[in-house]
Amino acid sequence: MKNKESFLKELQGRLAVLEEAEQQDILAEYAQHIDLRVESGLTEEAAIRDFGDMDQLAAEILGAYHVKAAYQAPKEKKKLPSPWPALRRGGARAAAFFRRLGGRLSPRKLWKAVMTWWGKAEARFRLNEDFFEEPETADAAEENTVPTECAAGPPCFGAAENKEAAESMKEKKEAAWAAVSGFFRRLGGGIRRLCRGTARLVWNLFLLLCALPFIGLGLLALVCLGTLAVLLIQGYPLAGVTLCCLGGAACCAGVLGLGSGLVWRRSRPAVPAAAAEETALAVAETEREEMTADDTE
Amino acid sequence: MNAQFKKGVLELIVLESVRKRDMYGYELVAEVSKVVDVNEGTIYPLLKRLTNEHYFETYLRESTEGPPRKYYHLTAAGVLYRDRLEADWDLFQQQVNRFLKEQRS
Repeated sequence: MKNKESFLKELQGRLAVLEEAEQQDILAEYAQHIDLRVESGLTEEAAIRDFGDMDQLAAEILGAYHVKAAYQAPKEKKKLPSPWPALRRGGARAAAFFRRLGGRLSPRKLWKAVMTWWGKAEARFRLNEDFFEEPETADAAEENTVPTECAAGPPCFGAAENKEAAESMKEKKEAAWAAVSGFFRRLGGGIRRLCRGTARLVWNLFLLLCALPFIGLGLLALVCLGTLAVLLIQGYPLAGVTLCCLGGAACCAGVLGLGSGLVWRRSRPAVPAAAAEETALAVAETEREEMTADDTE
Repeated sequence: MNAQFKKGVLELIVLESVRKRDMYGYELVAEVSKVVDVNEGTIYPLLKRLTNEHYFETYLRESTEGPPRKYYHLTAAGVLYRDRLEADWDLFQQQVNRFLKEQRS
């Protein structure tokens, strides 16, 4: 026992998948058809009966749009509990963890660490200076002695005073020359060292800059992995996403490992074999350097 | 008449009816009903499908009584489709007739 209204309402329910305009278009046509049938002397009920089975009618209309008539099915599927509360809880826990971490890394402690590092670096720099100065003076001494012997070798001058005067002059000259050349050599070495140091610093900073996004992504992937793993255990179908996060974290770790091979480490200073003391000093030096390098890394 | 038979030729009858002059839904249903006794519910979905496939164009025209009516007009693509269906139908019924005649003799 159907009237026009209920028929149209039911039909609209079946056509819910279509756009509103299309629904109205179809419903208007059926409404008009019923009206005209009623005008020609039929009852609404009879007119509607002529349309036949409602299921078949809806299926045929939807078929005109290549839409499956059984579309309603997914609506009755069991709804999963929303993952948002669990995610929010996980986020709050992560935030608390970082807050604690931040508390441990207080500015005062950070400042102390920086100052100790600076003290070490300064001490090393001073040691380096000593180390580089010593061979220079040794060289200068050698240079001083060798030419005087040479000069003394061939008897150029007859008079002893003349010879002495010439020798003293030569000695003075050589000393001055040695001082000047030593200064320039030291200056050159210093500039070279400075350039190398700057280049190393710039390169390593650049590497760090490149590494930062990967570090961030890796941490994010780890956090997501943890949260998703918990959700997975609670029964959400998140196995695929969890595996993706694991893969992302592994990728970031791999990239960082690869990048750490590109870090420009301080090269060991060449050890002159002359002085045993110096070699011992240099060994201690390099050892300490390695330790500090490890620390800073 | 067999429902499967009707379904097959219904498209051709609808296209042919509209070819002569533009019609609105109810009129078309009455026209088709004269040829084959058909469930009214199936004609509207058919019209919708043919419109979606661009064999029909629709437009609204005011009527002297009641609300404006939606008229169906056969497009050029619709005419070509109708001709193809007619050729198919001719061939089909010839083959079936010949087969039946052969069996009888």
